[in-house]
Amino acid sequence: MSERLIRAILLTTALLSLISLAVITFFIFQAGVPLIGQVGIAPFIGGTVWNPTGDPKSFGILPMLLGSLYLTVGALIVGVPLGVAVAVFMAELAPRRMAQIMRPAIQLLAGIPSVIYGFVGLTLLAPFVREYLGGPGLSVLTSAIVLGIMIMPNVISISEDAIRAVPNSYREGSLALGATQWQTIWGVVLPAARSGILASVILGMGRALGETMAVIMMIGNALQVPLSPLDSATTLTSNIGLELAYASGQHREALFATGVVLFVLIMALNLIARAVSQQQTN
Amino acid sequence: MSDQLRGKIAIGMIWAAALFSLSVLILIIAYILIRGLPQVSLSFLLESPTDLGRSGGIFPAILGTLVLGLGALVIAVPLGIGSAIYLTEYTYPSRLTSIIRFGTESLAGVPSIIFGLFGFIFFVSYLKMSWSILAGSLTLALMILPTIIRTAEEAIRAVPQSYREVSFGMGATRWQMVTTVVLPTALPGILTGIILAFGRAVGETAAVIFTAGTALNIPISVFSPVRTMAVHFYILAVEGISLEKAYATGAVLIITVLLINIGANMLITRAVVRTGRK
Amino acid sequence: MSEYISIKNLSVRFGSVEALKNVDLEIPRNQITTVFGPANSGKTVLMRAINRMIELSPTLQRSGDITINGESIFRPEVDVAVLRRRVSMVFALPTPLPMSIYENVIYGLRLMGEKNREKLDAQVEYGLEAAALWNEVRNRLHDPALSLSGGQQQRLCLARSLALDPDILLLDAPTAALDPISTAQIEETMIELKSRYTIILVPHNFHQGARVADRAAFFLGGECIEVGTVSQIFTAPRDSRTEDYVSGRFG
Repeated sequence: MSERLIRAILLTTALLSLISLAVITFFIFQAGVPLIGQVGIAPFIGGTVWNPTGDPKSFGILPMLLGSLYLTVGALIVGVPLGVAVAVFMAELAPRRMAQIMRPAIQLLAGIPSVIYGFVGLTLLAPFVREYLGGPGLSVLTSAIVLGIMIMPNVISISEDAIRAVPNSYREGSLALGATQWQTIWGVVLPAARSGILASVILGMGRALGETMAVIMMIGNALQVPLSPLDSATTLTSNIGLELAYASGQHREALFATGVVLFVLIMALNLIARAVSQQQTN
Repeated sequence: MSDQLRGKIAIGMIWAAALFSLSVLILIIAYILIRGLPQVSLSFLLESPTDLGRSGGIFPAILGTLVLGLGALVIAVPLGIGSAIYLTEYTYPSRLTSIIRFGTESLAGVPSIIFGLFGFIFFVSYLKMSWSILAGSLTLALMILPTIIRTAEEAIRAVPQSYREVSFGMGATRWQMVTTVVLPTALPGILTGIILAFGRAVGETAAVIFTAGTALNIPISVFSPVRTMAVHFYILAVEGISLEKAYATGAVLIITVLLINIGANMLITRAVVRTGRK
Repeated sequence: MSEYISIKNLSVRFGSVEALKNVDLEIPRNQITTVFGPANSGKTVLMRAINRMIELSPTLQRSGDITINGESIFRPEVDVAVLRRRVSMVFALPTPLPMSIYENVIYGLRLMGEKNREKLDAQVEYGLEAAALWNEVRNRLHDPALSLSGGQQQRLCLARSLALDPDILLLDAPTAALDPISTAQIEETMIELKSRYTIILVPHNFHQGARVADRAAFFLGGECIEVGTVSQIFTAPRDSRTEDYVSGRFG
């Protein structure tokens, strides 16, 4: 085989992820956008009634959109402080042996299938919440706690890289001026790593927004706008996951249209994360 | 002195967070294993389920998981490694490479339900593969492709530059240099990535359930639908078929993931030893 | 004196960095020519030009020519792989590949597609013998090359080049990372090898050049300042810059 042919083949493989992304975008949009056109953007996104098979049909995704929003914010409230704290621990504080235990543990935490998390939320945490806090148990709160733990490994790995990238001279300079270890971490290291940490938060947000099966198992799947964290709700993803198997016609198109909204949100988050992390490199 | 105290409290909280994350991991694993393992037996692993999974074993689901995961690897590994070789050895940073990188990173950020939607509309409907091993493996392959590219790229970049110089100096073509020096040296790292990608495929549900289906039969060809362990576990739990069987399936799933992670970690250690000896 | 390698008005740039400026240099057959000078004087770039390794850099701009036996190495029909086997390079740091001693020595032959066991065995013995390593490793040819000491590793790299039966050896500071005993061994080997090979040596320091070489070329800032026999260059340099350098008043 000539070098030129090999080069051409390798270039093709490299272009394939780009091509896949384009084909994915095209087919999702092609399947979903016509329905948004028929319903109208405002009634689709702002409508509060989702009744895709009723008479008259109604395609409003606001309850799911709000469900996704609340859940994502909740997951960030749980996952970000925990994740950043563990990242600081790994990069700055952990004794060697402890780090040797933590690293594979975090990797394992990231590798546990989401259905297992969902199941633990469903059978362990939800009854606990119902018993001690009230409500149906299957709720935004339950889901947010579990989802927060699910996004934690993502937050940890990117934040840890960012913290490690802070030059040692910063720490030495701060310690030499008489600052305590904590003052150095809080006042010097974390600010210097902030764009990497921010990127990790945004990517964690994307992961929370996109999680499906675990959410279906924990959130109660009630088509309502949740008024309290203890209420059941439904999200963009969980609704697609629940209804796609049996949907047809306009109903299926509406699920793809929901997918379009989700896709646009996630891509926007990816772009923001990319811009933010490039800021650190510059 | 209050600065000292504040610092001590803060650092104590960080330790608490680390220990908390460790305990959550132990809690999840222990919870599933304690409830599930007693019901796992050889016949559970080797028998087909009966009555929708209320009784019997999970053999078709184990088989389905393996076939689907390996199918995804067969597709994604050559593409991913080829892509990584191109980006590291065959080109210099340019507009094109940054666009390719953007594509890979974006693909990595696409949630699995979107892959499920896409696989369903494209492979299952448009290409008329119906719910099948083929459609499921292709969808999973797209999903794990970025992981394989990224880990292979990192492993290849860690190969010392001097090896390349020597190889070129001995008259190697670029491709000879890649196959005789770069890939053998980067192999442990590349394998680690492949194993982790397999782990991701094993645990995936949303992208699989709408592309490979939920059939509980033993597959006979790549066009047969299959049900993976993760999907079986999900259906048992959500449809309230059998909580006991769900725990047992979950235990098998967790052990699989544990083994995969242990394997990957052993390879990482070997990779460190190999580069450390230089 | 038969001019074997001829460098004619060679200029090399990498992007905005000018690495070699209008270099003219004649290198005779079966002698050791040492190319010396301070850091960044263009010595290594010159070596990498002679086996066209400079072409691995994407920003390369070259003008001028290099001929071997009167034929330009830059002619389009020249196969770079063949050239690099004929003009073989040993690097400053020992760079055994992560494989066995045996596999290292036959690496170049393997690239050429040589599969004949006897031929391979013979070349391994020849290469290791010529590099004065055979007696030390003959009983452990299949041990990993990385298990050798630094000096042994560098002689292995030399053997790897010699196993290809090259015409020209480019030795780029081959003793830079070695202890004095290993250095002396390699220097002895170099002198033995010059009856069979034409050697260009970037010395570890210019004393080494004075010890082993026949001819010397002093480089400074990418220019070839002065060429001559070793005794002339080191005892009676014509250019004041050469004199400053060899007398230690410089750099």
